[in-house]
Amino acid sequence: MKIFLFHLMPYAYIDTDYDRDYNSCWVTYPNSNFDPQKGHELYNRYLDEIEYAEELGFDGVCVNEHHQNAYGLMPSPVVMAAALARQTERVKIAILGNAFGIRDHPMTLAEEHAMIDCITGGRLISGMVRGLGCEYFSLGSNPAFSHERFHEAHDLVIRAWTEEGPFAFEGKHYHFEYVNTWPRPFQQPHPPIWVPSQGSQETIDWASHPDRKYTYLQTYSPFQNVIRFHNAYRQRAHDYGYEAASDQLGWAAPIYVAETDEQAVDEVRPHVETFFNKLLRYPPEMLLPPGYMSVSSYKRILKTKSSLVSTHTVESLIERGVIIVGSPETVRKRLAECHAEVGLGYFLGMFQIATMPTALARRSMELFAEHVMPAAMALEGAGRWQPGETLAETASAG
Amino acid sequence: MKCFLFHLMPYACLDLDYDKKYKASWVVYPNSNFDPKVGFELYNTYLDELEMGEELGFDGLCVNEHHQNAYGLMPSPIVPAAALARRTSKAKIAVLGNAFGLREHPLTLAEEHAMLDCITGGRLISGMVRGIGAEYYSMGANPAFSHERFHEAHDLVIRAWTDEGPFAFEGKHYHFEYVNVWPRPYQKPHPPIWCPSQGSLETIEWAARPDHRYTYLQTYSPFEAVKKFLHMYRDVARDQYGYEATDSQVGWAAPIYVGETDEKAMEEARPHAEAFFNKFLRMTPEMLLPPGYLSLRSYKNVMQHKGGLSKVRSMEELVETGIVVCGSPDTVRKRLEYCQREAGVGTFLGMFQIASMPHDMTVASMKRFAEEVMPAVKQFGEQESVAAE
Repeated sequence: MKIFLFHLMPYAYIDTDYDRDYNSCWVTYPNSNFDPQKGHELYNRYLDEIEYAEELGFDGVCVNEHHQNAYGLMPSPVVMAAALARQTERVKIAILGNAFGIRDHPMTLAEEHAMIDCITGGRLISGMVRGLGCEYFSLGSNPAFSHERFHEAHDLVIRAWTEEGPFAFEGKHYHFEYVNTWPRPFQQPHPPIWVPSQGSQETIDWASHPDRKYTYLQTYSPFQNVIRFHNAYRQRAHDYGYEAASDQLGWAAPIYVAETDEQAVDEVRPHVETFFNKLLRYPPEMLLPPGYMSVSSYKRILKTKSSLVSTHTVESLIERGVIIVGSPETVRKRLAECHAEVGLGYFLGMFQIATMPTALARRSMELFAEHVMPAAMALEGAGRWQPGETLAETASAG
Repeated sequence: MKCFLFHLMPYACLDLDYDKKYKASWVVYPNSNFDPKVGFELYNTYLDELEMGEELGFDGLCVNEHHQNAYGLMPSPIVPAAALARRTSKAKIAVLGNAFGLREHPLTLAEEHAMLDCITGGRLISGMVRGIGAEYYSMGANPAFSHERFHEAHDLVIRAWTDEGPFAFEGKHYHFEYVNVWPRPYQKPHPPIWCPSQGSLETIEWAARPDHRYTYLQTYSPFEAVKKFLHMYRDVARDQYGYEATDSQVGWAAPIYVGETDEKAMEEARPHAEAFFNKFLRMTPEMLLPPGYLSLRSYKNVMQHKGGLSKVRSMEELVETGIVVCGSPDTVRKRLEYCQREAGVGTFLGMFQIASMPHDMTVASMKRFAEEVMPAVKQFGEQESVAAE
């Protein structure tokens, strides 16, 4: 299993009582609450943490796109990936992801990814996402076209990266008379595509298609859902007529390692509870605006994620396997159990969590790198899934 | 006078005979001619050169936006600006510029500039351009709305940087119900705005407005034109708006080469500067200036001053007209002193790496400039303002 460090770059100075006046720290939470001096300090602190991951031996580092919020200060992961490009030498740099279809000019992202791939000599992983519902408010985009535009933008970008230009592209949403991207990506035919998702059968069907075989990442979910969706991916691949490899599956989760289990739980509690109860707080129409999902996916998400709107405790989050917390031994065992279950190829650990200060985040990274990572990297195998086994469950869930 | 290092990041191994088959190295020149392995080397060499610019004492480093061409491999100046953000600590980083109005989502650029400004602790200069005509083909944008969209995108972005969000923006071209940019820029009220231009009265009138006072940069022009447009800016400020423009409001960008002697400089720079003007910049008129891109008045103006760009230029002519600054340290120092005196240039942006010029030659020229020219150049214009006080 490969180990990546995932960062959200939250606004750690958020006033955690903001929810007395605002229903979310997304979209409607005034940007006057952002202090640029603190932003300067945080960005550089976070970039230091990400660069430190290379030193500690992580396989890759991850940045991502979220607009107009205190949850993650990366409206453009391109900026962060580019800032890391020459400050690192070895790690993969994963943009997880960019919302290509939310923009009217996805070609600008195609150009930027190609530039970063060239600068890094092929260390880029291109994540493609539709963007959360919130982003559709921020970008003034119609969520009902979200799927169509995601697919069309994907097709345009892949063609721009692989076909000789200039060619014309006439889609339903995108029209370009001259597609002729300079530069082309370093990796041939193009950087690996990863698809982070909160659990969507459409996304799984699309990512696992034999033409694509894109890596599917389950993000922030009870471990039961990781099992369900990873197995759904393997099943779908099997139905397509091939067996999915482990490197087609990944899981992103907040993680915290301290000397003992008790210490770990106590230290992470305020930060992880702030993360789930405050930073991830939004009204349902903001997360899932009308038209954003098919009815069947909408139903399943509400069933599996509805608990996200309730108040979480660190204990309940650990118990359901949404987060991994404990001593090095506990965390090592937990990752081995998870791997034995689903045989995932990538674990993406989010070490800095919400308001967590850098000393704690770094010590957790160090303990992990020294005592957990070597064993986790050695994990191999395809998990417990057997063909046909999950069909009924997937169908009933859908 | 401040000295900035300007880079275009050209595809240095462009086959110079490409024009036997293609009419431009822009838009229609197939990207199969781009070799990613060469791209990897070039990007890193060029970023090394920019980083060296800070070490050598340049006041700022400049990157810019051009799409689908071998002339400059920066469709997104955001990427190199971000790559430089933590590799440098003093130099200004000037994005010269981004074509905000060319996009349907100028706010994504507003976000990116704010991020860069925060990361660098306020070292960003935000250049705003309409983009040259060729970009309108690459981006599928209508050049007839170029001015309108440039102005509207500017207004949206400045409001996004300075007004408290969320607010709604209803323009003619842009409609956003929730404008609430996180992060906000580090500099108050926002990063300095610079307007690079090939010479446009509209741009000058707009940049010089008392509520703007944006720095106007004349790019790649005969020195007579530089003089004319920089004086035009001062005249507009004085006659239309009633204030005196400062030197810091006008700048000039030019290719420059410093050799050991005048003769050596000419011979060394010749193949690269001639390739730059005759090959890399080669463009059909409709590509450079598509219908609707300029007002008739400006179109005439540009054709008058830049008409010669489409013909073949010799090194001698380029130096004689002052488009290129080339010579021994002594010659270059004198030339820049003359130019500063004639046009009151506040910022000189030297493009040291030119077209196919190899790294060693670029670095040698940069070092000669930094050691033997820049210390004096930084003093030009300063005494007068001290005396005036």
